[in-house]
Amino acid sequence: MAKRKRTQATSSQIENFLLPQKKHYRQRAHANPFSDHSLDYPSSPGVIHWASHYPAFHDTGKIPEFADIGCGFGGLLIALAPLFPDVLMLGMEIRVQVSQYVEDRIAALRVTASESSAGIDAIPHDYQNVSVVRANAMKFLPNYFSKHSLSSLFFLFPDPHFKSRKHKARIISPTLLAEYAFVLRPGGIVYTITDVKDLHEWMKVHLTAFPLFEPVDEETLRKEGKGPIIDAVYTSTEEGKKVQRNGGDKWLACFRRVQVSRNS
Amino acid sequence: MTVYYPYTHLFYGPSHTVAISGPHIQVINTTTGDVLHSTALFADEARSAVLKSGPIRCAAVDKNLEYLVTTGEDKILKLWEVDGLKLLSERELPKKPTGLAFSADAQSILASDKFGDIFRYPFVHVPSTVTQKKDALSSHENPSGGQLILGHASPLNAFLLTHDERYIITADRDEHIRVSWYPQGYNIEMYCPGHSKFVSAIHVPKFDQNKLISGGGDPDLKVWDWMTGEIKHAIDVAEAIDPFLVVRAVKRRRGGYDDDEEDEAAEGNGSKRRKGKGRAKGKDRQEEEKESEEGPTASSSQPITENAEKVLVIQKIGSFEADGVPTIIFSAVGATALFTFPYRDGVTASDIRHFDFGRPITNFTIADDGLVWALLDSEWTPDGVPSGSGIPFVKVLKFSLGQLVEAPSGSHSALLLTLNGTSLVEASVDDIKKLSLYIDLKSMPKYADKPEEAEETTEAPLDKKLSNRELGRMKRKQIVLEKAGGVGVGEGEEEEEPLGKKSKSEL
Repeated sequence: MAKRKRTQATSSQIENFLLPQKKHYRQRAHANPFSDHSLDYPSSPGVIHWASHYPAFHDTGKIPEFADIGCGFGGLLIALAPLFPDVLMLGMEIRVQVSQYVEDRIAALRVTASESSAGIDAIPHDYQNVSVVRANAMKFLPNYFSKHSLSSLFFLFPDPHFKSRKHKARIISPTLLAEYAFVLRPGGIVYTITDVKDLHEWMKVHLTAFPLFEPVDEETLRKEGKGPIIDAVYTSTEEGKKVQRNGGDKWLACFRRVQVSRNS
Repeated sequence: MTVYYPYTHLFYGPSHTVAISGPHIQVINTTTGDVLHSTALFADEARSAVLKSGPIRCAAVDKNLEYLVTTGEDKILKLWEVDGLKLLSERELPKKPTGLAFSADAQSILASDKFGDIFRYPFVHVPSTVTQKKDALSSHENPSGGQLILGHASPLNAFLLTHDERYIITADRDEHIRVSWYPQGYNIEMYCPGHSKFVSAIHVPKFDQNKLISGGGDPDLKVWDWMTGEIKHAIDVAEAIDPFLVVRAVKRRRGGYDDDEEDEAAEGNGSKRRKGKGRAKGKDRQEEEKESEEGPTASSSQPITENAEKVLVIQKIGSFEADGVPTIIFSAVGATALFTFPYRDGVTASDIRHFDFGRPITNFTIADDGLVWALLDSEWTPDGVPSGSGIPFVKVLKFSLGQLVEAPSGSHSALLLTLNGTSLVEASVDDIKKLSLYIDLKSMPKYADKPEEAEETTEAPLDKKLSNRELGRMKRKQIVLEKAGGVGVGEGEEEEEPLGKKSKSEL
């Protein structure tokens, strides 16, 4: 497959050279979320040294507010970073090569930005507010994020796991939604998008049925000023672009975290 | 030589006591020691149904000891009426169960499973007339129409309802302790984060109900404020247990879980990806997947030598008040002793006391009168051949002057005599092996760490293509690091890999 131009990359040759190339980070598209990977993960959010992820923010005490679950090659993070320069964002990717790619990509972007940010990028930005971890989000999300710490959670073009016997491996399931609701603050938004109609139905049905989420339509979110996020959700990821090139459909579904009271 | 089933569960009541050994259940008069009912004495058909389910893995009674639930090897949940040992209902569970419990009113039965879920079933079983239809949107098999309370993404090892039954606390193989509302389990109140290995036992002491004590593969027991998820205290128990850990674990090749493995294996066979990968023949697919993800590993080209090792798995934690002193009592899988320490601030490893039985303990029960009933695997020998030695399978201890001692004969003696005599059920050597009493030593730990270390050292020389790839990455990365300037290479690297190990093969 030929290497594609990244919209985020500038025309500068040096920068293009510095950015990691995908051909050096190939890996098959699926990972078994239930196997014991050789993962290194924090025992609790409290022990994570966020300052090493976001050195420019080390004295702000900030923690990530956006999480991109299964961030793939990092397109969404790179697109959102300049739009919310004060918001820390973390991508999670289970495939070791791919997460390494994103890590190298962010490192390269940070370096090039500090050198030549003047006038080359449409929005000068140093990408200090994005980072990535190799992680199995199905198992270890609460190891990274404390209760109600996130305002946005992204599930963009997740692995469809087509066979019904594999549905249990889907990133959206009635039981996992409890963990997403735990890390997401009330009012926070879950963004999902896919080009697989069946998966869209699946996500919609389960999220809608879940007591701590309520559907919120695109129009409402745009009115709330979340238009740029939605645009990025549609178009910024590698997968999103591929679907676009092939003229496929994309189905978006968004949900707001709500609270419930106890049954007495 | 006669070999007997060791007991695995004992539910002690003032009038009658339920003892479980192998596939069998017995109800014994607590005062007289008379065996009132026994599945071993069932008539043909009922008896073979009992045997068909295999050894009883999980069991629970309601608080009045009127009802008993059990599961064997066959994923069938059986509800018994203790008086008369009548089988009231049988339900098929969706996954292999790992734990059972009654609610206080006995109206609900909770079952945890290896898939990580907790289902609630009503006391009265109304068999569904229509088979559950599985459509594109159903996420959980649910053959008996249970209510899905919550689910983790890894096997559940332990759970409990808090005393007010407003919360359910669950612990899994991936170090998580989760506090959820009950029955609205989708509402997670808190996690208790801090274990670095699996959690296999949790306990809320009656005398301090805001606290949770947890243990598993970590060397310490942790005391939590479970509402806030804060760790209050940790007490190192590994050293105290170590001298008594006689059962060794034969290392598993892979740390996966059987339910999943079955699936994977079934699907992996004959799949295209398998072809052309002769090297991976005979391995389960998880291993193969791992290879494709993380590159060839040193271990994949040579068989892993089986070696027995000591593995710590906390089996059970309990508490009682002895002479007004709140005391914690615990056991470890494959260890021959019971351990206690006083429950107070500042307690340290030197406060741990033990009572050694000389044989591995399978379970223990604290009776209302404060006596501790210890169930022993008296057939155990280091080479795995049942001993048939006739030494006691049950011992009764009492707490005296700060430690456990064997209780002198008294009102408990008749029951004890029966348990060590008439209620023993004969077994074959094969039956004993099938009990797999120490399976947790193998199935709980994860063994994924070593291959990655191997990857770092052997990756490049093994595969030329890979090393080209590495070179391609390195060229760019080095320039990036240089450009990062005054930071210095070491520091720069740290910035990129803040969480430590990961793969550092690039450097």
